Amino acid sequence: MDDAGEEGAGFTTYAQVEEYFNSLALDGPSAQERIDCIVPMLVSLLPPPYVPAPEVESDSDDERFSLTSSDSEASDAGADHYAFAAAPGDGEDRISRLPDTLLADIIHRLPTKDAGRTAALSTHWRRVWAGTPLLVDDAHLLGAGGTSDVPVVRALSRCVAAHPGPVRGVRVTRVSFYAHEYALRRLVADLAGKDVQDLILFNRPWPLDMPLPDDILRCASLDRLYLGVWHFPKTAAAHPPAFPDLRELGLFHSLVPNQELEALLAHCPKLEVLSLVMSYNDPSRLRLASDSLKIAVDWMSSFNEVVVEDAPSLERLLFESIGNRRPVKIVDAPRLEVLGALDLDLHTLEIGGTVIKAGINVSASNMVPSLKILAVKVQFACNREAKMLPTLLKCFPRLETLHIMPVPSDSPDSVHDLRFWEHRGPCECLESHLETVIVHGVSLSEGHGVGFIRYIMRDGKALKTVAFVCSDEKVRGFRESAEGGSGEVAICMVAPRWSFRAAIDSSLDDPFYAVWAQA
Amino acid sequence: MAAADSCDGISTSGGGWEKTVTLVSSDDARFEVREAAASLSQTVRRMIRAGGDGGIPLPKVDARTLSTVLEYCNKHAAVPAPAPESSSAEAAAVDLEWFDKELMHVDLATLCSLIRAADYLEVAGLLDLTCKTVADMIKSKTAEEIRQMFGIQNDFTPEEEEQLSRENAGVFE
Repeated sequence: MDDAGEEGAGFTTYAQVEEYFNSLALDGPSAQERIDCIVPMLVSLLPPPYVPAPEVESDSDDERFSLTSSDSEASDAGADHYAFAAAPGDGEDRISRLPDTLLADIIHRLPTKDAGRTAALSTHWRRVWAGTPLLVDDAHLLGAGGTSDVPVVRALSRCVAAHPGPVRGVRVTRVSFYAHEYALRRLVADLAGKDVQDLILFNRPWPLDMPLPDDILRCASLDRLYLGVWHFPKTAAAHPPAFPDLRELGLFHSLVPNQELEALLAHCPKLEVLSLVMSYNDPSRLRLASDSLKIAVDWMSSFNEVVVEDAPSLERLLFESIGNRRPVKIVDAPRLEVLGALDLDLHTLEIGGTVIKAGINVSASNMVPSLKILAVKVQFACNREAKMLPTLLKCFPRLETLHIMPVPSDSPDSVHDLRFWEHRGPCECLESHLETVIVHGVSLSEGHGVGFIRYIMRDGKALKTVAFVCSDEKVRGFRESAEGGSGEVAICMVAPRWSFRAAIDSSLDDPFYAVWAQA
Repeated sequence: MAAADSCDGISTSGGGWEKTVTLVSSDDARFEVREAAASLSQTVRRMIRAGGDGGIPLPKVDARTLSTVLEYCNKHAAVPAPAPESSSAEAAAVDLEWFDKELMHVDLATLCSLIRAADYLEVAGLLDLTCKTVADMIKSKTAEEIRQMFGIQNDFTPEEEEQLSRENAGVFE
C-alpha cells in the first residue's frame, strides 16, 4: 500500500483500486485473487448470524456451533425419534395452539427457508408467519440446487417481497449482485418500504464498483447497518436525517467520497459506533464530526489522515492500521477514554495542533486528560520509537492502563543507550494514575524493552499490576510479585482479546485484553 | 420471605443449610425447592419478593410439568463444587448440554406443556431450550412432513394452495 500512499490522493474509483492491485501482481496474485481472499476475511469480521447456517460450511464457526450446541447426527436422529415414537397417533395439534408469541419465537430460530415453509402449513401458521418480523440470511438460501448465484439473488428479493413486514433483520454476505441490478433495486426498495431494522448487505465482487441503490437512504428504521464492497450513493439527495435511529454503522471495503461520508454522519443523529474496514475515501482523509459517536474504528483502511475534529461524545478511537504513515489528529474529543492501537511506526499523533515528538515540552493544550486506556505498538529496537514513550505518557495525565504491543523491527538500530531511561522528568500519570501495564507478546528483550519496563516499575508510583498477554491457558494461574516504586507489584497473565468485534463492542471495559475466566 | 419461612431449609451436601421455598402446582402438589433454583423463574422470584404464606401457588402449571421444570432449575442452579484443575468450566458446560438434551426426550404433549410453563414461569433458559427443540424438529422437513409430525390440518383452499406454491417456488421449496 506504500505506493498508493505516496501518491497521496487515495482512490476515487474502484478501477484505480483494481489497477493498483494489478500493479502489485508482478510479485503476487492478481487483483481478483487478492479480493477473493479479502472478502471472506471481511465477512468473518461481521456480527454473527441470527441463526447459524444449516448447510455443511467450511466456516469454522459453523462447525464449532454444531459440535458444541448439539451433536448434529444425534439431534437429527433424535428429532425424528421423539417426534414420531413418543406421540403416535395422538393427532391433536398442540403446537398450533401455542400462543402466537411463542410460535413467533420458534419461527425466529429457523433458517430462512424453513421459516418460510411454515407459512405453507395452514392458514393459522400463515397468519403467524406474516405477523412475525422477518429474518433473512442468504447463507440459508444457498444449498441443494442453489449453488449458482442466480436463484439465490432472486430468492432473496422474493423472500422479502412475500412478507408483509416489518423486516427485523437481513444478512446478505454470499452473493454477487453483478447482472442482478433489478433484483437488487427491488430488494433494497422493499427493505426500505418494510422498515428493515438490521441490515448486513455485501456484494461479492466482481466488479468492485457495484452502485448501491439510492433507496438505501430511505431505510429510516435502521438500527444497525453494515455495507460491504459497494460504491456508495450520493447522500445529498436524501432528506436529513436519513437514518434517525441508526446506532451502528460499518462500511467494509467501500468507496465513499469524503464529503459523502461527512454528509452521512450528519444524517445519523444517534450513531454511536462507526467502523471503516479496508475502506477507501477520497480524498483519503477520515474526518470525524458527530455529536453522538462513541466508538470509531479504522480497521486496516488506507487513509492518509485521521482527524477527530468535533466529537463531544467520542469515548473510543481504535485502529488496526496497515500501510503508509499518516497523522492522527485529535482536535476536540473531551470524553476520549480509550485510544489504540497507536502504531508509532505508522501514526504521527497530533493533539491540539501540536505534533507529539520525543522530548517536546507537553503543555496542557497537548493533553487528553480524559484518556484512561492507551495501547501502543512500538519497536523497542528502534530508538526513535522507544524514546517516544515517555513523552507520549505525558500527554495522558490520567492514564490508568497502558498496553504495550512490542513489534519486531525490520531495521533495528545497532546501539541502544539504556541510560536514556535513568533520569526521566516527572510524569503525572506515572505519579498518580497508571495502575496497570499490559505487555502483549512476552518478548521485551529487544532494544529498549528492558529499560522501559525498569522505568515503569521505578517511576510508576501508582502501579499495581504488570500483566502479560498469553493465549496459552496453562500459564493462567501464574502469579508473582515484584518490588516496584509503588511497593509490591503483581505480575500475572491475562488473555488476548483485541479483535474487530472487541473494538466495536461497547460492553467491554477494555477491548485489548480479558481476564482469564475462573476455572 | 414468609413463603421461605414455611420450611426451614434443607441440608446441602456440604453440610450447610440452604434457604428453600415451597411451590404449589395447579393440582395442589407441593414442591420444596432451593431458593436459588426456584429463582431461575422470574415469576417465582417476584413472588418470593412479594412474600406470602403457605407456599407459592402456580395455578397454570400441573405437577408433572412442574417437576420437569424444577429438574431443569435444580440442575442449572447447582453450585459447582470447587473443581480440580482438570475439570474446568468447559466440562461443566458439556455436562449441562447432555442433561438438556436428555431432558428434551419427551413426547409432543409434554414438550408443549413445558414451553407454556417456561413462558409463564419466565425460565429463559428452558424457554430457549424447548423452542429450539421444536425448531430442530421443523428444520429440513417438507410442509407435509411437518403437518404429519404435529397433526396440523391443512386448511388451505385449492386456490390458496396453488397461489402459495407459485409464490414459494424456488424460495422455500
